[in-house]
Amino acid sequence: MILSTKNLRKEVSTDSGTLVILEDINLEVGKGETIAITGPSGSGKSTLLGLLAGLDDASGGEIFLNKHPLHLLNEEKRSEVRKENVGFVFQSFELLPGLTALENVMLPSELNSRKNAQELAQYYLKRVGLEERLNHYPRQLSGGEQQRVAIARAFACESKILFADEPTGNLDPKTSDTICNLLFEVNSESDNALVIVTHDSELASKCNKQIKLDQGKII
Amino acid sequence: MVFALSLKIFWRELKSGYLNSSLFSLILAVTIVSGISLFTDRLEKALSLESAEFLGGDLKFESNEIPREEILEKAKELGLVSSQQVLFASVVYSDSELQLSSIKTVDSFYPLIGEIELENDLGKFLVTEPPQEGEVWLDVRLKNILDIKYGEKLGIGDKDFIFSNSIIYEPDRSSSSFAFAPKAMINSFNLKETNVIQPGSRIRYSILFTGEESSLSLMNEYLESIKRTGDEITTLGDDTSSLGRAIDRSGNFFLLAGLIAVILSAFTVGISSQRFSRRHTNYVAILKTLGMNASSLKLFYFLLFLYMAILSLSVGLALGWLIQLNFVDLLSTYFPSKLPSPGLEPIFISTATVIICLIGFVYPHVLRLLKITPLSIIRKEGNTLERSSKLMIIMALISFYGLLFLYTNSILITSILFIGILFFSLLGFVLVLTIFGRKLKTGLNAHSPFSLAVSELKRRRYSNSIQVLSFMIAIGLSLIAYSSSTDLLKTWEDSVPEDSHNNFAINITKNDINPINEFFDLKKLDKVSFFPITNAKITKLGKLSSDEEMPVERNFNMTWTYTLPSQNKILEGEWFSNNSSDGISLSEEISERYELSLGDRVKVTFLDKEVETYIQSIRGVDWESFSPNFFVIGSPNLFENNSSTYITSFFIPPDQQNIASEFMRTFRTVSIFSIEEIINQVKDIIEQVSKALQVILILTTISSFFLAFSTLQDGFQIRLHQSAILRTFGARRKLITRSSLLEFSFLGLVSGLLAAGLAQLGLYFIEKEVFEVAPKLHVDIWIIGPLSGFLIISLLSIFLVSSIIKKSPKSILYGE
Repeated sequence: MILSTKNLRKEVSTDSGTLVILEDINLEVGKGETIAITGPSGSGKSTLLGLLAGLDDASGGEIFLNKHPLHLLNEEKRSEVRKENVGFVFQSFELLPGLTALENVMLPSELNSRKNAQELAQYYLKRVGLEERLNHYPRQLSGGEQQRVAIARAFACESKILFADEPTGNLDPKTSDTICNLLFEVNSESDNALVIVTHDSELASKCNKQIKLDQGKII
Repeated sequence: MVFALSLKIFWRELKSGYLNSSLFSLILAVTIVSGISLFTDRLEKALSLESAEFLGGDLKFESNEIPREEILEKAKELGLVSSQQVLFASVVYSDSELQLSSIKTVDSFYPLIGEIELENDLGKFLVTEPPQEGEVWLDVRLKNILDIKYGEKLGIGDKDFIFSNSIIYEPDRSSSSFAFAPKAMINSFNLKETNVIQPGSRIRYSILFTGEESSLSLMNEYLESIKRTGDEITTLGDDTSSLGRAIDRSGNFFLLAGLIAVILSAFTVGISSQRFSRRHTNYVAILKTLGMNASSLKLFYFLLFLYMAILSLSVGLALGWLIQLNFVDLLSTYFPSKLPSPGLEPIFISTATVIICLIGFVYPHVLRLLKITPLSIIRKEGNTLERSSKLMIIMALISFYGLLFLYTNSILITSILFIGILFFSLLGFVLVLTIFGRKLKTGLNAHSPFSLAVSELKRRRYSNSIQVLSFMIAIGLSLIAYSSSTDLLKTWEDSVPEDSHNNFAINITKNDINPINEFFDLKKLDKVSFFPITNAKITKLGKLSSDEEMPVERNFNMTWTYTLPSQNKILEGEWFSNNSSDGISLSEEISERYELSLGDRVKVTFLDKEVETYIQSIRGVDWESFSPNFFVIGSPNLFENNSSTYITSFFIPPDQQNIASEFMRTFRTVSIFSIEEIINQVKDIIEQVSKALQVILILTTISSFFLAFSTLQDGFQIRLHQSAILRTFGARRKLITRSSLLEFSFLGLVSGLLAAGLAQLGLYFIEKEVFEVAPKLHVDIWIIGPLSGFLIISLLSIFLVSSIIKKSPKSILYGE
């Protein structure tokens, strides 16, 4: 088991009182398993993904990521866990505008002090079909290309689990298909677990398992 | 519709705090500018009132002739109040003693300005009336010399007077001319009865005027038009006295402080306007997409700016008013009376500052936004907002120049400041680019704090150099303010040393010199220099003997000496070389005022003699020094065999003032008068200015701190996103904190160094041109500059980076 949660809960304080965003979330993800989290807007999908990846604090319950109890760790410790175990693809790509495609992909390896950061980045960029675009800046790339860079970056983490938040949400249908296929293709070459938040039923259907959220609860 | 929308958006932005930084900068700018200018306006008015009091009125006309009726009629016509005085020398005698004294007769309008402080057996008291008929007031020294008690009789010419009061303080002290001292004051009603004024007596008639500024200026013009030889007109502006200079100099200090505040504010608004335009990118995109045309958008932003201007002006002016009240309160003990109310100028300057800042620094950003298509804004294509267009730079530069001019009112000072700041900005830019211009290693090098910091410094060299400039301005201007309020003020204080010559002695004959020296030796007073003095007239001669002669309509006190007096320096030509080719030396003021240049042939008329010679040198004279200063100095070769009297100045410790009385008794024909009062007044002004400057320094430091903080905040806004991505992929907080600390402490150090350079250059200019003292190397600012840059920027960056890393990466990336 690479990821599991027990009675996970997230609430936030607002002017009109406490708002429960997630409640009683229990799930398990095994090694190499792919899982889709679906549900309507505002159902808490992205919040759940953030908690699972250790990007945010839970209000209650437990999360274990590769045996690390994220719910007991502070942000500093969680960042160590993320460095070793997590790759992330965002809906809005989140590339650093001042870095080239190659440099963006090198980033996770640099943080892990890997000596072969550049070779690894070149490998994954080639793998996503951008070997000709290594030295292009994000603003010089199309939306689809930027998301491919983001995928290459996530895989360059060589992590145990990869999280993707609406990876095709900002792309047209044709590009979506390409990105979607690429994501699964590259993932199949590793024993990474893949957790995807998506609205796209076709993308969700490609996963081993689907979890549907509604009003913060698994249904 | 635009009006309603702009009002709604302004209100929403205000409520949500989005406008905070822009508004805060503007409010701070208005607060500081209005606070300082309101205060300086009031202070200047108070000081000029003091200076008017010193003159005895707003305008003074002096003549050797009885005032012409037409002058008094003209004054009446213009609605001016006038007061007449007659000054002459006469022997005053009591039962036991007699003394040559200066007699001042005053009319019923005396004093026009201020109060007279008197003393009698009942103690000290203030009056605003002249002496009663038959009464005489004496200054304390004359009272001592005559050895007379209150109520006793005293004679001046044929008339006996009752000595009723001693004069402690009189408003029109400037009328105490060198030739007449010590002093007795009587009512002009009694003048005739004294019978001392005979044909040929040396008498000085003066009329003092007060009234509306416009009428005074018309009166001044009129007097200039009827002025005859020997007449003299003095207005408040052309005061070359020590006090006048001190007032001028204090004005310079405040101008400098205000200017620093304006520059800092302009930079702060400039920096925060970048954030404003970044945030408004989406507004423009959405409004354009919804079909709002360019002119409506322009109107929308015009209205938004108008609201900002109104709000920042009203809050800023209110705060500025409180600050100046605080200043006034702080200095209240130094002002004898209530400070005059401020004029409208400070409000005009504050309003103009806001308008120029908004138009020059904020509006160009909006204009540029309006040109961009909605799609490109939404997609953030080409990252266009991060780069400055030519229009923005030109508008900002013009506005900056305009702001400087608005404040200094001098093209020369504005241009020097503008070019100086521009030069250092370019230097800083080039320096940062040179240091970090080398080829980049691939990647962000995020494996260690040091390599990440170096990589960031190289990568962000353009934006970093802008930040360095901003820090440089903040630190550099604070250093100038610091140095002005310490070093320059100290130099000024030192110019009035404790042992400044507080007494002048005149009418000294050649035979008196040795006995006087012996007297000083006996009393253990410092040795003094004696200067021969005579009254001279100068006539400019043409190049050819047939050319018309041009007499200068004024008499000058002239001396002759081979030794250049210590408070003089040669600006043009050569000092006398003790040979027959020597001529005369003129003060710079006289040379400029009467268009007398180096090498001009002149005729010097003195003691019924004429000497034809030439102008051998032009001198700069330190009029603030309390020693005899001369407009004209001749070579002894030309003048030394002529009979003349001598003048000297010396210091008598305040607790040994009886020496002065003893001196007067010993040397009956020598006149001695004290300038202790003037020295004390100059010292008082220095003290007032010093206190006010300390408060202004604190405000300047706060505004520089705010500029540094705004700049850093702007820089960290861009880093916020990067830190979130790095942390998503496992970067520890330590990596981000340490690399930011390294990066910014280095930038702080470079900025501090550049700031020290800027301050040194600025101070060089201020010392040389504004305060006319010898420029020096300010070692302290070369230490404080880099050190404060390093510490302040490091501490601020720690504060800001800790606020960034407190947020979870998710909340940053998801904009929560």
